Amino acid sequence: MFHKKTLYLGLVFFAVFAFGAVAPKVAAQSNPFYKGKTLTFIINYAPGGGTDTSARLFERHIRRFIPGNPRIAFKYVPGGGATIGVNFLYKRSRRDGYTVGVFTGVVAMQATNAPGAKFDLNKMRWVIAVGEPSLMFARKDVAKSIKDLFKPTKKIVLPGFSRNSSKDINLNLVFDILEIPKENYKYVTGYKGDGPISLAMRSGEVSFMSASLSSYGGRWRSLANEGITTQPLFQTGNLKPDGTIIRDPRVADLPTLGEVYKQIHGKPHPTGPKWEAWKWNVGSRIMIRSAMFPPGTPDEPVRILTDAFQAMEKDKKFQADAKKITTAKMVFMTGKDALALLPDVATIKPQAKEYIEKLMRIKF
Amino acid sequence: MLEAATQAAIALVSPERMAFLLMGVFMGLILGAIPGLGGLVGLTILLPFTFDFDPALALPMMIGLLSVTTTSDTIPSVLFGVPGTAASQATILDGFPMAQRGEAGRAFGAAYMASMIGGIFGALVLALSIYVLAPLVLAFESPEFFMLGIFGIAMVGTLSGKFPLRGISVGFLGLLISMIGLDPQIGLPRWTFGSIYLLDGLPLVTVAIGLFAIPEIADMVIKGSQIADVPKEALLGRAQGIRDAFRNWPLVLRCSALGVWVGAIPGLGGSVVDWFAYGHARQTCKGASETFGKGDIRGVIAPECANNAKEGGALIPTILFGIPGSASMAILLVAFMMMGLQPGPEMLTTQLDKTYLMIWTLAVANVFGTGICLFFTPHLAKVATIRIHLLAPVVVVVVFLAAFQATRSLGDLVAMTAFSLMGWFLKRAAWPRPPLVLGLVLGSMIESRLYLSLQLHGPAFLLRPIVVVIFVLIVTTVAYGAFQEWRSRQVVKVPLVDEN
Repeated sequence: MFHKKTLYLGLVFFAVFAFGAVAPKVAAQSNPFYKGKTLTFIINYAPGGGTDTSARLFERHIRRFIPGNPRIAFKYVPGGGATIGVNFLYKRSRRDGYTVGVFTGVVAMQATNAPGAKFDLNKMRWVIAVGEPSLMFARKDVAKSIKDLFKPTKKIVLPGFSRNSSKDINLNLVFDILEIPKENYKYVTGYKGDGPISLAMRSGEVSFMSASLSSYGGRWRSLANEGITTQPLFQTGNLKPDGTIIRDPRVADLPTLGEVYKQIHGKPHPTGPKWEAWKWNVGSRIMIRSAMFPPGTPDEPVRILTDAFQAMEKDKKFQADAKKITTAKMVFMTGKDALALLPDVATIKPQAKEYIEKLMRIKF
Repeated sequence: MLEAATQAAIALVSPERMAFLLMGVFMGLILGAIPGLGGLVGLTILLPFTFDFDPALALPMMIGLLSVTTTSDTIPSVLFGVPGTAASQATILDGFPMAQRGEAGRAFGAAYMASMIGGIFGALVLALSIYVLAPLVLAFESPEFFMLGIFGIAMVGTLSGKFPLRGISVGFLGLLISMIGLDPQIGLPRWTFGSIYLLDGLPLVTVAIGLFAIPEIADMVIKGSQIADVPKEALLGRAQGIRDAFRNWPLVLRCSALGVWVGAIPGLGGSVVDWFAYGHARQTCKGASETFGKGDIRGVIAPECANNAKEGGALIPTILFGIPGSASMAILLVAFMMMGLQPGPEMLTTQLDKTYLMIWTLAVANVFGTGICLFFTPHLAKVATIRIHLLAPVVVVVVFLAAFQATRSLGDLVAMTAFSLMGWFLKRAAWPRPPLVLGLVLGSMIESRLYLSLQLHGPAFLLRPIVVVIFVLIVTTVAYGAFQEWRSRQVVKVPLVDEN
């Protein structure tokens, strides 16, 4: 009959095959989704920027909250005005739950039809959104308080990156909605980043600026400490799903634009295209950073990661680190809430859009 | 101030810190020697490790890395005429001809000694002038930056070859190429032809490598011999080079100081420092206008010591204002923030010891880096005698990889090939190439500052005092260059007449 050797060999092969076929199923029941695996963060900016810093902060802490304790790898895909990384996640990355995008600015990209943007945020599987209000402040020698914006010692100079950047839009909206007389200020744009603007603020070339909460703490607070700029005067606030704008609890003592308007003009802020534009502006700020899986990712990893972020948000060590590095606590919005807010912030209402286009002399 | 300085010095000398410093130095040397890599890549790799480290260990490692890339980037510049980093282009002008004459060892010896002295002296100048430089940096506003950018192009244009006017034209060509990408005012794509790759403009590394590497390698392969056209016995060694560096000590000291001060100008300093030093040397050294560009050792010493000193200068806006002077400094800033260090006046008061730690690290890293390079110089110089048919394939592969890592997409290879062709034709026609790279580097800054100046002041920005001074310098430089060109043409004419 068969040689003994062949028989034994055959048994061995069969055993290995059987084990190999059965083992994954057994393993899946006892091993969590991420055990022994690597979770890759796709970052849509180059290393060293704010996106990287936030992503590194997450990486330091989130592993503890993901069952299976996966390794976290970084893949930087910058370029195309930060759209390439998002495109990559949307079209080309694997949908197996082991690749997640950690992005900045995607909402504004979709809303303003950024050239090169080839994704639809409504189809992405959102994990969380993070955001912060922006704070406004001025050079003390030009305006010491909100009232002084109406009577500055010399023309206030508003800086910006380009006429279609959200920083520029924010500053111009503020001055226009508050009805500050046009002869009080001048808007110049083309600075290549916060660094040159900060230098210009110090030398006096420009005199008003807005900065997100964490970038204020990281870079701009020292100007206030040195007496060059005022303390923050007011904030953009948080947009609620019902359309109201409230003070962000991390800067609860700073008024919102609506409150400032009432304070100055003695009546509630006007509604209409200008206010719709402002709401869009506020909304895209509080969703400025986001983590999302590509469309088609199964439910399990989305749920695991959402739970992990929410648990991390409550963790004292994480928030202490966040405070140390970004100078402010981090507040997360769940993917579900983000998707609910998306219609308001991923598209600008037509009349509001027209108003912004006219104000900034651009075309989206 | 003195106690903080000595405290930091003692702190640095601990075994763990020195070990980390050495690790950074080794990484930096390797990265600087491979064209297209440089400090930025290394810092990116190191960044995650810094988050959980004690800052007193992480900082020496990162600064160690940054300080020495400008030491090892001399290697490809001298041996192949390919800039190791954008900062070492001026070294090619005299370093490469020296290698071809069999004097690679001497060039390296002089370059490393100059780098060492430049780095140390630069650290010293930094330590002393930090209080003075800070307010000076603030005197530069948009109009001044614009004029400085134009001056940079004018200077490089006139310095980089026999025909200054050609150089300046090529510089403006570089400016034109820098406009490919998103318009700074509106964010509209310009000259991108619908390609996503071009939306961010052409990567500097890819262009520089294309312009320099392939044409040089191609020429050498065509000639078919080796880099150094002289027999092995004629190789002049590093000892001679070291002596040269010491003999020219006034030049070294002047260029180091220049390196620190120009390096402190954010956004501009790093790329033009070696050119300013080269230009200064050419204008002040005896007989320079004849010998520079043909293998004058002083043309190697000047840029090499300046570009080591500039790292110290670039630290000033970074640590005092949180304004990174370059992409590498931007990453250093992130490392600061992750370590909880705040750039600002505290770096001169409560955190003064960390500042001095950085300054001493700069000095010590330079000593180690140049020491290691000097040690390997004889081996490096021998590379110039390897048959080019053995060397070229290796270099070409490395060069393609280096160009590819700019954005890791096909566009990099296409761009590199296109610029290789352009570089080839420019070389054949004796039009200089370095100004094109500089035009590309400075282009976006020049354009943005021009528009800002016009928006802020209107055309009157041209009447500001510092702007006028720089403008006069530009006119002088260009006029001088044009005069030189006219004169050299006159000299050529005479022998033809004298033919009896």
